[in-house]
Amino acid sequence: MKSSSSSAWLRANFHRHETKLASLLLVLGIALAVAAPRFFSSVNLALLARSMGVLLIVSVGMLNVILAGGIDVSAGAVLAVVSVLMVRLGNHGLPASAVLPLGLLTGAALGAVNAALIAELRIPPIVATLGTAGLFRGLLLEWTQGEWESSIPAWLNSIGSPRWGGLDASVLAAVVVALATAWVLHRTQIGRALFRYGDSPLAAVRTGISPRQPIYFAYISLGALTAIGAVFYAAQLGAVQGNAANGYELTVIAAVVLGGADILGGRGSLLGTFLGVLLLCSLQQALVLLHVATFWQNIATGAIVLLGVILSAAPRLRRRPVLQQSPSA
Amino acid sequence: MPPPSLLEINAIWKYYGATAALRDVSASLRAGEILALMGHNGAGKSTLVKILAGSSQQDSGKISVEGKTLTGGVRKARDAGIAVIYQDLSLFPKLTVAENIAGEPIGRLRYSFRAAKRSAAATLDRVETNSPLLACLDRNAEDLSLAMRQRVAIARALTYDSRILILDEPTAALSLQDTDHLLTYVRKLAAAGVGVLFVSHRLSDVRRIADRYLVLRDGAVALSTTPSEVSGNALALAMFGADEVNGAVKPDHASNQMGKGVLHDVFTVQNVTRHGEFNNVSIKLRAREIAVLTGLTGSGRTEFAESLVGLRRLDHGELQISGKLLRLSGPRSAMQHGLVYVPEDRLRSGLFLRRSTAENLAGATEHLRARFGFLGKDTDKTAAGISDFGIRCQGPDSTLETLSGGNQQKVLLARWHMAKARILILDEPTAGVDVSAKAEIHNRLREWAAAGAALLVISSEMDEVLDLADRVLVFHRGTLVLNCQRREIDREQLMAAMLHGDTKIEQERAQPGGGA
Repeated sequence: MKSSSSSAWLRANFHRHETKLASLLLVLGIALAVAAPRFFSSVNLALLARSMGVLLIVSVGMLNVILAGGIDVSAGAVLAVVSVLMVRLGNHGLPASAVLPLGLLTGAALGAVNAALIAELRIPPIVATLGTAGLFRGLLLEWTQGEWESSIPAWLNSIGSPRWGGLDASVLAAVVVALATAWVLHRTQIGRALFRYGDSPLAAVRTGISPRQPIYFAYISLGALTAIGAVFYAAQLGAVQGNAANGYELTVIAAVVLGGADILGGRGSLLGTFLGVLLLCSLQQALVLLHVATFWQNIATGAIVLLGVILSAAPRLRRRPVLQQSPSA
Repeated sequence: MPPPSLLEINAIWKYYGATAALRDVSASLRAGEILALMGHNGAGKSTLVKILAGSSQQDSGKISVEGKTLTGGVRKARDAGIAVIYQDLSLFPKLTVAENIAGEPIGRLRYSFRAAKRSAAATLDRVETNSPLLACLDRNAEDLSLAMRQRVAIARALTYDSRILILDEPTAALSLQDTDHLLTYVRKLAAAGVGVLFVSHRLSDVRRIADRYLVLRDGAVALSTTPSEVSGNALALAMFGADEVNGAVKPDHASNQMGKGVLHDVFTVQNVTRHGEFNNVSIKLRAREIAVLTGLTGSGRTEFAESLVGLRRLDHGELQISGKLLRLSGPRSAMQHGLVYVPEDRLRSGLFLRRSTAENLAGATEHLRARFGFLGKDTDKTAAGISDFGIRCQGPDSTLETLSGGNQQKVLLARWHMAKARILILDEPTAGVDVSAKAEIHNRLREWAAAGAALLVISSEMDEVLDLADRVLVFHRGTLVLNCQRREIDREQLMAAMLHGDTKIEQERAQPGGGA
């Protein structure tokens, strides 16, 4: 945003959703500085960053899907499938150089299944992914018979271990993923096609955008990013099982929506999603730090998501078209 | 020989199911020419536009641009230089004006906002000097007024160096001033060598701008001619398909209702206005009378009808039933006065397609029958409704989507008959139903009126107006320009009122408010 003066910049950005989220974060930060100054210790901040990595990676994928006017409730199941698969293969002695690409391919393939159901069979996304969520999870449980993989390969363990002042590789990966996706969304044709298709599928098709391409791109990218998330998910936990990440997709969707993405598609930003993830994770972390009971954590999380959505809807409720008078010819 | 054709349309046929939407349509367009494509609703205009835009394929026939055959797909059509501005504009509301205008560059991976903005600004500069859009390139399209959004759509169409510009009903929603601006602008484009296909049913606009006319009726070319060879009158006749060219006065179809006793006013509409939609309209609906309201799409008739039952709030004016002032909060309170509106789009806003016929019949009366909120089945009434209205279905439990369009419409009418509606406002009650169902519906409406109801039917179909009406009302650009007995008017006067807002034929630009 280039502007001659900072006040103009402020005016232009004052009503942006990201500004409101940042204010919300600021309020939370001030409250925490008073109530739990320990929150800002370097150890705790590193912990916060590590807790954000996986969620941010998957949320960025979900942002792609939601921008294109879709939704994916199978993300948690995909995360479980890929993490169990990778740990099992690793435990059987397959090297990281084989396991990681296989995991990535699996994630992308499961995303492609979702995309095919939606783009080819024209099944509404919520129904298609609800179906595949049950399918993926069921097949995984059948395969594992409910058994835990209670140890993980050494290379995976080292991926998850903290270094660089308490940060681990998931933080680095999240930063790379976020920057790369930001570039794709704003600097490539396919990225803009996601916005266009999600905004108005009819107008998109009429301007020559393929009705399939954005859907495949969105769901395959979500699948692949979920697979990347699965690597760190397994690495951080040190053990996985078939019921892993149950309901995780709801946290992911909450983060993206809190980040200002329009659930109907066409509107949303990577910065917003980042702030959404940051807000959710900070809140969780703070409540743990304050020894708040788990159910209160749920209540607080639910409330903040609703608050975020109301904030993002507020300007649309009040909006009146500008330039109502047409300028004289 | 005239200059070679830019666009050649050759013997196009297009079927939807068994019905032919286009029948052997041929036409041509030269560079710098403005060809008006005209026709009434359902004449095949939009089908032809879709085929030219590449979003729909013809079943047979050929389209060529500068001698090269055009095949398949929106991108192919665009590459060939065809740009379409749809009636709904097809913009991306949540994206910026710049992004909307810059459109979808072809064949490059990279995208740049700065380049998009530059290209949008360049396009706007090319289009007009000092375009007001230059100041709002960063705004979202949804924040702009309709006229401005239309300019965005035009600019977008011109981004691709299009040589063939198709405008689908561009003036339908514009004010007079915006219309003037648009027409001037289209002329300028044509002068620069663009071939323009101007789709419209607004005769006044077309006569100001077109070099040639192409009139479609029932999917076939009804007339292809130049302004010097044809009068406005003949154009209108080609659009509407009158059999009797000189509009011999039909004898009053039946019954002048006078014979049946004194007509008394049931529903009085007094000086009602909704700004921008309709202006100072007064009518009276009488028991045992069918009044038919007509006018072109966009003339405000549907908005007017919706206001009568409280779906839209009136800015001025009042409604009375049998002399008592009516205050309506919505359709439900209207219903309590026996006043019912049957919308045009019955599938979306009239019927419950996935529910049974019985439930649909009961739809309006349930809350009247319910005891303490509990419902019982009223089998006798349902059966009576089905037989009275000759509804053909697999019994009362069949879901409504299994019924034909005509039978669905009968269900809707039967519902309100069972609800004992006294004043009915029916918007296009026979749209999309077959001929025999239409005749049945007409008979039912006449019986209904004869039994004492007051009916206001909205129809765009000339024959239906002339056939069904005891009284004829015509809207033109939000004004009631005609209100008279059916026998006082002939087909030509009716057409003139619809097209010009005046019953005097051959008057080019009638003032709204004249006539009647």
